[in-house]
Amino acid sequence: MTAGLRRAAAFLRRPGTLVGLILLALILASILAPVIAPDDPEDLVATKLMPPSGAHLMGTDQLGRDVLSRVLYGGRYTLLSAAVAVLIAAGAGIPLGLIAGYVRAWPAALIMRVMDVMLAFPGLLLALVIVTIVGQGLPSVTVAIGIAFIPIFVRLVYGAVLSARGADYVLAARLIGCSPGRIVVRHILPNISGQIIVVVSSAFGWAILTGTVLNFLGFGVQPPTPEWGADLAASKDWLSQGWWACTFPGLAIAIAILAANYFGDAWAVGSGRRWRRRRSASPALEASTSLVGPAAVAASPEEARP
Amino acid sequence: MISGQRPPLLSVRDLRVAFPTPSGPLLAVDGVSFDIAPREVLGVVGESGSGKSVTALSLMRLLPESARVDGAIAFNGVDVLGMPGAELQRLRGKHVSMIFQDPRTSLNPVRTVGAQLEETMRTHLGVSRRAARERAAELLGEVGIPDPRRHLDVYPHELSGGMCQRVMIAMALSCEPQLVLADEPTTALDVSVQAQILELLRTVIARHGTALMMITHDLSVVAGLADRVAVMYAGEIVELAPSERLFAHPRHPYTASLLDCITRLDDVRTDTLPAIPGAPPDLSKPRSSCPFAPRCSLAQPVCAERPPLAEKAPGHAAACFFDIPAPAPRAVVAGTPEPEAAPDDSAGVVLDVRDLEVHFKRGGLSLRARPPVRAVDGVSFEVRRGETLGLVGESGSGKSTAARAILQLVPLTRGEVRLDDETISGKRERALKPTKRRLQMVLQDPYGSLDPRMSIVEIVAEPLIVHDVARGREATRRATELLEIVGLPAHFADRMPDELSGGQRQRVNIARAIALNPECIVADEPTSALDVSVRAQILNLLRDIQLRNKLTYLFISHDLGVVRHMSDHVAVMYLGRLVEIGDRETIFGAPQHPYTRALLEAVPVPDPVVERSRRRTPLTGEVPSAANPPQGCNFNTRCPFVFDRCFEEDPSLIRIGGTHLSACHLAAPQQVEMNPEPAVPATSVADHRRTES
Repeated sequence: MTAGLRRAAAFLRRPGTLVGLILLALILASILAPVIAPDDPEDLVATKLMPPSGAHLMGTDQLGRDVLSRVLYGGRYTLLSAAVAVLIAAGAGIPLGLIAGYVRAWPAALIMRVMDVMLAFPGLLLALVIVTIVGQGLPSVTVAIGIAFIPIFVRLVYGAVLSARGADYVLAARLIGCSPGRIVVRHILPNISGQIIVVVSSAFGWAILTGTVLNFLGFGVQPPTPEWGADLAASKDWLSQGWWACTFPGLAIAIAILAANYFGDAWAVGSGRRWRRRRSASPALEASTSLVGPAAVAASPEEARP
Repeated sequence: MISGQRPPLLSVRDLRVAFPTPSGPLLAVDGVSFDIAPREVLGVVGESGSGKSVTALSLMRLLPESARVDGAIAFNGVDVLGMPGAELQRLRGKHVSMIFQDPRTSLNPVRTVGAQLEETMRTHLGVSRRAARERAAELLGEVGIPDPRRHLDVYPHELSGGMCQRVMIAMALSCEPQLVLADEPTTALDVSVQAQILELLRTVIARHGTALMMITHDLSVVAGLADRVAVMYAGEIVELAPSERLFAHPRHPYTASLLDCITRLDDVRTDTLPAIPGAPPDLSKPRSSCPFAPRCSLAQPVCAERPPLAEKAPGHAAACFFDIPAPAPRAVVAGTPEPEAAPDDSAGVVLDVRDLEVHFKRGGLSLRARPPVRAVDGVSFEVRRGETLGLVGESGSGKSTAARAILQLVPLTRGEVRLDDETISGKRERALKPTKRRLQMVLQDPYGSLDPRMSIVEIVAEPLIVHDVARGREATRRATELLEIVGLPAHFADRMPDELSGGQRQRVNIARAIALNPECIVADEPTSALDVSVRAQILNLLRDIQLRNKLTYLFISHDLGVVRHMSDHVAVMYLGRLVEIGDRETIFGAPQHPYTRALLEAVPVPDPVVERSRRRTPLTGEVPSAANPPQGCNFNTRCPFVFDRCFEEDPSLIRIGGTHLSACHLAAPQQVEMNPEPAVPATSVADHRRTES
């Protein structure tokens, strides 16, 4: 077996891989919705509230639209909105956190106090307030979630930078005359990127949740646009007549959030193990005489889980 | 052989310990056999990765579950490896006890010292609380803790590191064990405290009639203590002999070269240290040859076989096919200054430090201002071109803070730093960028100081790119050249830092420091994290580069042997101040300040004869807090010659001759200089002004 194949096999055995594949499948299904969806999501294709059958795998909803098609198309709005929201939050939060963490002094105090105030409100409530101010519609819901999630990234990056800036390699970079910008971008950011990726993944899950809630409450997409949260809201009154109409959008939400959250954890474990493997290349270190040395080597992959 | 007469207390036969790793089993201990007789002191010496600690832990069955242990361990004839749990607990607490390297982490921080001592005794001896408390106080007194009754009720964080180690020793002896395992018990301590602890171990072990297995990386530490010494390399015992014989006539090439590359204070100083080339073998690869053969100067084709540990002389075993002749007797004894050409005093001053003060404000919730920590409190010196000034001091002396202040990494409270007549202190970081081309630093920790996400060549190329000296392919080419200079061939270039050993990483650090071709390098403990055999390589490299690039060094170390080897001039720091400064021969040959003298006396020498005959006046106590230094002379709490004036008046550095200055009321200036117009001192101290507290 070549090294490449062996690596591929090891990759497939990782717990994160399966979860990652589920997440990827959801995203792909949403992107390919126009190709794979059996019907137009907004067309009344059959009698209302038909149970799942060969013709309509997830049945039809209270207006006679194909639920499967609506779930597939709905994912485009839900997932895209969540992704853009996380992009906004990370795009604003990471630089702010880097500045607050590395520059310290007054910018840090200012940024962090504003973030503390934002953190004092629950994310959903904050997003609600922003939507009320900005106005309804999916774009404003997305921006609202993005803004509400900024503190998550600022706090994470701020903490990570504080611990990384004390490292000797940062001192070494200062010694050779690197500018603060270069130190932050070339030395600190790559070393905290692992932590950021984990939180990006979890934040994606939270953004799906918050987004579908806002859509459920009617602040986002307007009928007949398909969206998981909005569909859940619209079909909930017919739950006793047809469980399928609201169950499948709900399941989609749950699976997407679970996958996003678990993917972050799995990534952390996987990258931790990658470091461990790399380190075992230096024997002198591994067999180091401290108690930690052998214990660290001895930790088998199973034990490496947090 | 001591163990020959009596049945052994502990007998280890063919011990093998393997740890499973993703890349196959790692054989940490590979066929180790030895005995310890009752009351015997066995020193086990080896570098990191030699398997010495794993051996000790396996004796107590303290290894992680996943470790595969084979062989036989018998304690008083009872098999330890097959011992059931309850019996094992009795063995661990009562018959065998252990002293670890870091006393601070081995004591429970939330329980008082007394409670921890009493617990052990009540568990294993079944004595009453009152009796246990009595005995605990007695033990604390015995290990030299003043006012033992009061100290029963203190928490570990209220004690210094040396005091904690004394408590650990008391705890280890509390149940009158038959064997004490001490794993690097003095490595985390300063040299003056190390001397105290070694002395204490020597006396209490003898008084209690306990056997001791002393594990250390430092041959000098066991020289005066051990009856027999086992030298370990790559998981094997390569030499086992009575202490005197081993040091007088090492019969394994590894032991011999290890003794050669120690920078000892009582030997002729040479410019180049004998170093052992290469690094220890990869323990995860199967080994069938002599493990030392790749680094051995005597290696022959026959060394592809593994040599057995065979008796070379009565009681003296070595695992080598060859007989090594006894080394020539050393001619020079301690303290004799060697004739050597005086350093060139005409060279210009490169680094000029005047009245350097770094005080750290202490935060806290109370509104009352707390006194600042006076980390560096008025230090002045000069370093001339091409010279090395060694800066020595124990932990807390402020030497590292001084280095960082010189490089403007911490803000100066007062004082001035000049590089080539240009004042660099007080400038903003951006304005200092051109300075960094001329003034560089090698950091202590080879593991933390390289960015783990950058390859070796990127790390070395970075200063070139940052300073616009070269970019792209040219920068890579120059970085590869630099790596060649520090002894890392081209195939290392693309490796990541965690694929290198400590010594190789320190080479990368040096390559980065010389990339911009600086005039002056501040080296802050560059070898203290390295093994002895690797240390010599790095010291030689630093020296070669100094000659090659005409570099000026400020060399900071706590290790007097290393400083003696590297420096032309030496400055001794204590509690933020310079106490003595002078040229190397004066400081090591005729030190004037009581602290310098005590420090020199405290350094152990790898020679049992010298160590045992040595009359020591070890420094008592430990370094006081820099937040609240003693009034008067700041050494007055530990000085053996202290008198009234030392409590009233702070001695300033006075010239006692030539370039030699000392801050002691007892130091007498030499007669008037014969030369009417004295030459400019090579390393002079500017008027020692200071703000009195």
